[in-house]
Amino acid sequence: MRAVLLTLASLLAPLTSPSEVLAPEPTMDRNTSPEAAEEPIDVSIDWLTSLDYRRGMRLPDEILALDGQEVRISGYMAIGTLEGADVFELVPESCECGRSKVQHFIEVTLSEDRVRFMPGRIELTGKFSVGEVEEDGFVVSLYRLEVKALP
Amino acid sequence: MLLTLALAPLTALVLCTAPRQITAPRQITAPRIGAGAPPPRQAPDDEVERLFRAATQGRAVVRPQAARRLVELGARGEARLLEEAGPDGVGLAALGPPILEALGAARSAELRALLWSTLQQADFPWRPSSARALAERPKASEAARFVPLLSDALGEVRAAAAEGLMRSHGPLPPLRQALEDEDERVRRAAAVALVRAGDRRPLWLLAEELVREDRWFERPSGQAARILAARALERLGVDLHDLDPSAEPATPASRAAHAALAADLTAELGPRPVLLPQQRAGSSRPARLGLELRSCREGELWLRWTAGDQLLVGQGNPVALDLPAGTTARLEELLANGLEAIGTQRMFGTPGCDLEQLLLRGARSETLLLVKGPEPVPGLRPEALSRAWSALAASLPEETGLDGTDPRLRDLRARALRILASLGGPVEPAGTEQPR
Repeated sequence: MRAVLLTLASLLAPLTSPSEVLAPEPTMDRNTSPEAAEEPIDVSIDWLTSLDYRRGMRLPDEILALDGQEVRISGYMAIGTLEGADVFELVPESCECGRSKVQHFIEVTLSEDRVRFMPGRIELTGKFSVGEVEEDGFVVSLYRLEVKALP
Repeated sequence: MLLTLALAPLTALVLCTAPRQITAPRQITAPRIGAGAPPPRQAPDDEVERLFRAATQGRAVVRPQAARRLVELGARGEARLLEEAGPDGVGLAALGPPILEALGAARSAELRALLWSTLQQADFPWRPSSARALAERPKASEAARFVPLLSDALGEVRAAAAEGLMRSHGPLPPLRQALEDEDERVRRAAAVALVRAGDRRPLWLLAEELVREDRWFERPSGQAARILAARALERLGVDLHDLDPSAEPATPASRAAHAALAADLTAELGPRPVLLPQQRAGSSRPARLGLELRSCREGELWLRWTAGDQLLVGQGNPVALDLPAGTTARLEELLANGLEAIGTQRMFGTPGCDLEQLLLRGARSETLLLVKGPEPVPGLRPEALSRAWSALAASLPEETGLDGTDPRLRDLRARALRILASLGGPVEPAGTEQPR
């Protein structure tokens, strides 16, 4: 996982030399090419949701580094998503049997759209945020993504 | 698109693990297990009731947390759950998976006995949750009880049994057998269990998962497997040599890391063993149509039909069986006709633990979902699709000649029919011939 960490770290530090980046990811261009400055970071939902999470723990640096970043991520609307809402849960598989914990989904908020259920895999790009959000003493989200509209 | 969850809370969206309809707390007056007489009803405990309500009726994301805290209250919380479960445990099903899974941390011998009893009930809808709970902190005396669960119809139960067997210091031979399981979750759990028990040879199996490139249609199933294997290996203290499991295995950086890991394992364990087909890493296998079947009582099955008239069974490195020429095209036509007949609706039922999903990725791209809870739902699969489903079932070979060597092919058609019956309803296999 260190490669991921280093790659992300390079994205967040514009002065980082490309030679310090281990993998030749497209995101390297972000350090050197102004045209590519808006390119979002590709993130695997399986990587995020397979985290061994416990309440209050410090999240891995490579995940914290994504906070506030523009990311591109693919997954499925949780089955049972309510149409017409402005929020839904993005999950790694079309059925999430056995996975209902807070680290198992990304809470997606639509700023200029309303939910219409899409049964296939969707790709979303938006601003990502990381961290525990609590309501009534319970953690209700760990990962959030703000996007304008559904594809 | 019709969704039948109009009354569901807006944010309670992940539903597979939790029943949507939770019955109101029952007033149990029967004696508790182990008690000679009904205990006097005590004044309501506000905190217990608050957590109980949150664990059974709160948002899906809140339920596991509330359930865990309820159990962590100790005797107060456990007494409330025993009361709700009833002396025969009948009430456990209504409590739902979050509470069942939290019971793994319970100290009550009665609750643990009830959990074990749910695993003996083929119709109990949340057997994977019971198995995971029991595997969390098993007693040494329970080790033998996990062994038969390694042959359970549900992969999630088998995977939990592997963990339970390891944690209860049970015998290792059944775990070694589980390395040959058709389900990657079971193989991974067994491999980790064996390594933790001191047998490090299954590290080779986890290393093999790191080079998977397979996809289930759009879903990068290989990448998901790589990530899970990498996390498992890291927890086992294996040096991954800066491998990024999200990256494709063919990148130079990935190749270098794989080579370094293989060198480490060879030095420690000897040459890489010959792996079984289901243990080997797979590559991408494009298909024209697929069925993803997940039944919380009968198990799961992944089937794909390719343009070259092959039937692919399983994920990862699937078994490929040759079908009569033209089979896939005829199935596609039948399915297209059936989908056209049902209009634009592509999701039927109320979300629960059962899923029947059709994927068409040929001339047209369609995804059809049938979803339901554990109870039968007559007429769930639209009648207009019956002919296509009959043809899909008929295309599954009754005998492959490989049944004895590859667990994925064991009773393939019979198993598929059982699973289909438990999902969208019974299917009668019938040929793909077009009507004149």
